[in-house]
Amino acid sequence: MTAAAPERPTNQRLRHRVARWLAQRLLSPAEFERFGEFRYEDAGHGYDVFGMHPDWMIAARAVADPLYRYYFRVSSYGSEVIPKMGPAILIANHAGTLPLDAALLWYDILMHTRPPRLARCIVDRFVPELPFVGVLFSRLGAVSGTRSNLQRLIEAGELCVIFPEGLAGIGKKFSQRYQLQGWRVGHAETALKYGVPVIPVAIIGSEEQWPQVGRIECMHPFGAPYLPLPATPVPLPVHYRIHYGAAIDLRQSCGQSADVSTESVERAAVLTRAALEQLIADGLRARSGVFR
Amino acid sequence: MMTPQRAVWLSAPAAPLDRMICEALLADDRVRRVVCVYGEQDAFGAGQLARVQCERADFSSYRSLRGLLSSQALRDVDTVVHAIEAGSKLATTAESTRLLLHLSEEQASIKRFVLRSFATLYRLDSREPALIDEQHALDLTHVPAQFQPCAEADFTVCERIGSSRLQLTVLRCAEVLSPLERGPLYGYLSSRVCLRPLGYDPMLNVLSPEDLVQAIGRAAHGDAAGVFNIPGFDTLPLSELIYSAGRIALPIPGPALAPLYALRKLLTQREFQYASDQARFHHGAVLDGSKARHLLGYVPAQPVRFDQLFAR
Repeated sequence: MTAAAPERPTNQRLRHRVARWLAQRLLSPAEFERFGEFRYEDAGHGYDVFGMHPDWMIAARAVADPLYRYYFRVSSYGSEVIPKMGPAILIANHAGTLPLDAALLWYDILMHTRPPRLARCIVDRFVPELPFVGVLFSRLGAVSGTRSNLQRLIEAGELCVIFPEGLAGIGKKFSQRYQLQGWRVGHAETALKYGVPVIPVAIIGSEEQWPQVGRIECMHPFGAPYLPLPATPVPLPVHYRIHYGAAIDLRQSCGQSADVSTESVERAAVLTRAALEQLIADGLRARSGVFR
Repeated sequence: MMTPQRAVWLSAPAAPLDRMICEALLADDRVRRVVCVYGEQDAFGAGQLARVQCERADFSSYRSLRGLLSSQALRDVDTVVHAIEAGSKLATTAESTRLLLHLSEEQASIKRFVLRSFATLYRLDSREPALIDEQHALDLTHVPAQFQPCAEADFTVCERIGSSRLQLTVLRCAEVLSPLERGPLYGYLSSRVCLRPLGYDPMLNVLSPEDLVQAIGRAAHGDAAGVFNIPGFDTLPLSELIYSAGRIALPIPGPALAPLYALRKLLTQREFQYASDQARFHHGAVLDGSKARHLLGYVPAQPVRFDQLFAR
């Protein structure tokens, strides 16, 4: 950009002040200072091209901090595998009726990377259609899961968080907890095509946070695919444990170059699924209890 | 010092854009002169500039265009820039563009044809990518009425890319937000209170006249052919756009917006129609200008002057 960026309008300055005030009240001074190291590609008015804004992020972080520390008491293991820069794809199991697992993973990555890195959660394509939710997610960095969007993020060197189970995962029955459902292959295809490392992430606790007793398929509140019926009015205070596994170089593991044939993609997807399943199994063995 | 060789035919938009484009074209040392061709007799905005010749033509008439283009005075034209704005009386119809393109192909001196088109042709949907590149799907069913002729013109030229002897360039530009070119967004923002859909705040990209002129200049002087997205400097959500323009945003449930704006159009005769443009107000998208940056050297540099949009 060769011209000076326009002076921020008054409503942005006000929001900036409110976000910072909130963050100063709810975050420790060290954490507040750390957030100043956050870097992103400003498209000219404080937003990036996908709609993310750091004021929203700092406010969300401030609000999420008590949930992260005290309600879900998140424990994080192995976050040092997350690269300090450059693209990577993090794949995780998905469950819990609402995407609190994504929110806490997003927060965990912000907390444990230096400088803080934004995890771009790749959301299902119906999510931007949801009023308010779509806007909130985009302000916090989430991006709709089209091939083109993912390509842009990878080319920009971003961290992408993908839940290959998708809707099948978050809506799974309690009896199916920790069993990966409907494993999509898009993450494997992208990783092979661009030579991007895949980092499996096992989220232990999310699968018990808000069991569903059923769902109403014919109801689509605000465009959602169904109306879930949770067993409890609010999510349970399970103890979240986030385990990051070793990065997988799919090109090396599958013995391919940039081959994205159907067979190589499926082979790669089998590999990533197996890696995540092993990580989940290890995490379940290691934990002492759902709430402890 | 290079001897200026080139002569550029410019199908000119209304003043002062025509003057700005002429100045951008003349800024290149290789350009000897610019021929501004208008459809209206009294629209010679760039007539005072040196090395600018003004002519008038009936763009719907084959004979009129051929007579002018093949005249002795214009035999040296080697570049045609068809830069008419949408909604003008001299709308970029498929027929006038087809005529001009056909005649340009017949004229041996002409090597290059540049069409200014519009990004409103692209399909906007929440399930589509947030960044629109040149491969993005088009959607003619929801193009605002004033852009329909431009869509046809765009297709007319694109259909010839690769088979014409001319180097064809189509610039799909973001909407220019300026009193100089009063597009749908300008019409939307002309009200003190702007209704927007409750719960949605799409990202939009708007272009300044200066950057439009820069893009046209680069396309006219460059070597690359094909379709190029031309984004503006300003990428921001709808709510910020409204606020930056000094307007008040009033969120309203989405289904109520089209009837409210239709009623307003009926009562106040204002041109803006929400119904034909509502995808942009729910699920905006931003133009990806990577190809123009790499091949034309185009980088948006001038923000929209929001404080001057409605200055009295």
